[in-house]
Amino acid sequence: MSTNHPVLITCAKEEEKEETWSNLEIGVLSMVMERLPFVDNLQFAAVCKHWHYASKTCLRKEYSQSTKHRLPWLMEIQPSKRQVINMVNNKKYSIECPPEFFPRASKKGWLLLSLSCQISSHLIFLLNPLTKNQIELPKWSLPPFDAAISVKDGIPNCVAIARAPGIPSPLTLQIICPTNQDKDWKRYEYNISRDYPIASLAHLLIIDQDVYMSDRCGHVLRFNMVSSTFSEVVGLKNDEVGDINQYTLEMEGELVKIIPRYTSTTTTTPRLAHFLFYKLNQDRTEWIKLEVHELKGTSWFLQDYSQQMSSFVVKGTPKTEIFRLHMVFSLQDPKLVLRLDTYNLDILNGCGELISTREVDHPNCWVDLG
Amino acid sequence: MSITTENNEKMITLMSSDGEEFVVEEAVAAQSQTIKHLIEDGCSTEGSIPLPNVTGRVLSEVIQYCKKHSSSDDKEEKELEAWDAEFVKAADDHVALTDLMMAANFLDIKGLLDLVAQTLANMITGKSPEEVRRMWNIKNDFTPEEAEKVRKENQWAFE
Repeated sequence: MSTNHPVLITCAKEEEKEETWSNLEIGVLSMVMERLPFVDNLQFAAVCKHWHYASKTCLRKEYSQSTKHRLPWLMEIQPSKRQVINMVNNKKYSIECPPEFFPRASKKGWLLLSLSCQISSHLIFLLNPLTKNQIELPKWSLPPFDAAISVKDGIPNCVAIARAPGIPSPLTLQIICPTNQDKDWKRYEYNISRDYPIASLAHLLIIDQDVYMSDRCGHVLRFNMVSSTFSEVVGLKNDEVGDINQYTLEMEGELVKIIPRYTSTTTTTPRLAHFLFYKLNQDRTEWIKLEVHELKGTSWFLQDYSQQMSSFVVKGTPKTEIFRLHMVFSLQDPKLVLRLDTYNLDILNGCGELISTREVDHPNCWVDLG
Repeated sequence: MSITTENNEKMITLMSSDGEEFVVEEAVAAQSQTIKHLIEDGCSTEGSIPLPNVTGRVLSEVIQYCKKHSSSDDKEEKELEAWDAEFVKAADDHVALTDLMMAANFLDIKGLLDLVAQTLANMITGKSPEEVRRMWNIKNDFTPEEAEKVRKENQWAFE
């Protein structure tokens, strides 16, 4: 900087500007970077050499600290490729991964992909499309399955894989953790007693030391990874039990539930809907209604078709909205079509008004790209 | 040099890199962790605290921020937010913001660092590398080969 030599300022001004930026300390640059959404981080690295270097050195440590304000992306599963769509600007991007792989879970920039290579064997690995980091996991032999990832400081530290109960097998849960700096992942397997009333698996979540498995009727099973014990999480009170459309999700470390009630229709998109919101209290003894201030600025991303449901809730959004991916039967064609509906939520009474609906071309799921 | 005001508030003198002196209340200066530690170590009693990395122009802005934030309590959060927004708006261009950020980093003022980093991040969001370069006058110093490599690395972001 030439502040001590005023004479030089006029001719050095342009250069000085450049210098400011190329000399900016990596630590300072990383503070800007960690506040950028996913794609902008990639753009950031392409600006100049210094920034490129900065993005390589701080990305893994600083990135993905918080998902605040970061909306999930819509992943299109096309026969030959995987594309993700940014919900803010509707731009599409291709993800570099073999097209035979299917996404099973996602968290803070990491995708869990699986490839069924033989009838009873699944190749699975973790991929971070931003850093291109890959982690291969032990093969899984009991398809179909659900999965969840836990990420700490930008690095996956645990994967849970579960298989819904069937005949003759019970519900099976595997916990896979790295033992030696990402290199060796060790697998622990648990079979779950049939006494627990969980019909199928809709959502699998890891929150701290606990793995939560839930079905669409609202039954939730908790597995504590420290004590290796299962316990049933208390259900909702009687008046809600009849709902078979419950989503159990994580909202900033808390277990929450959303129960939509659509005006019944199978051929069109319902214009109005009503939503109920709950969270599990700290002692895990009761589901309590979310307060208006807790609901304000939340966006819910729901997926209604397929056994594996990828649903998310994000806090800190400007509006309170519900996005729903679902399937309807079109009478004109006639065929099944996928739709993406957006509801604007009235946080005072839980009423949702349909503000947009559009057809989507390919099977989709929500992914958390950080 | 330590002076005391009427209401017994201890005053601290800060000296910028270009020799400008600023006399501020200790509570204001102590918003900076760096200065706070210097005061605790007894460095302020023997004259002014020299800040070799911060110019007078930037320091006066930093002091403005510290004054505002040391006099406001939590109840005024909304008002403070609005004030912060005006404050970064007044800094105007990215050079001023960068100077502020480097000063906040050196002086270790977390709130200011957060505020400026977020402002800069908002300016970049949604822009292509070329737009960012033009906006902030950054030279594209990649060789064509390197540029191609970077492009390949992040191919899916450039569609």
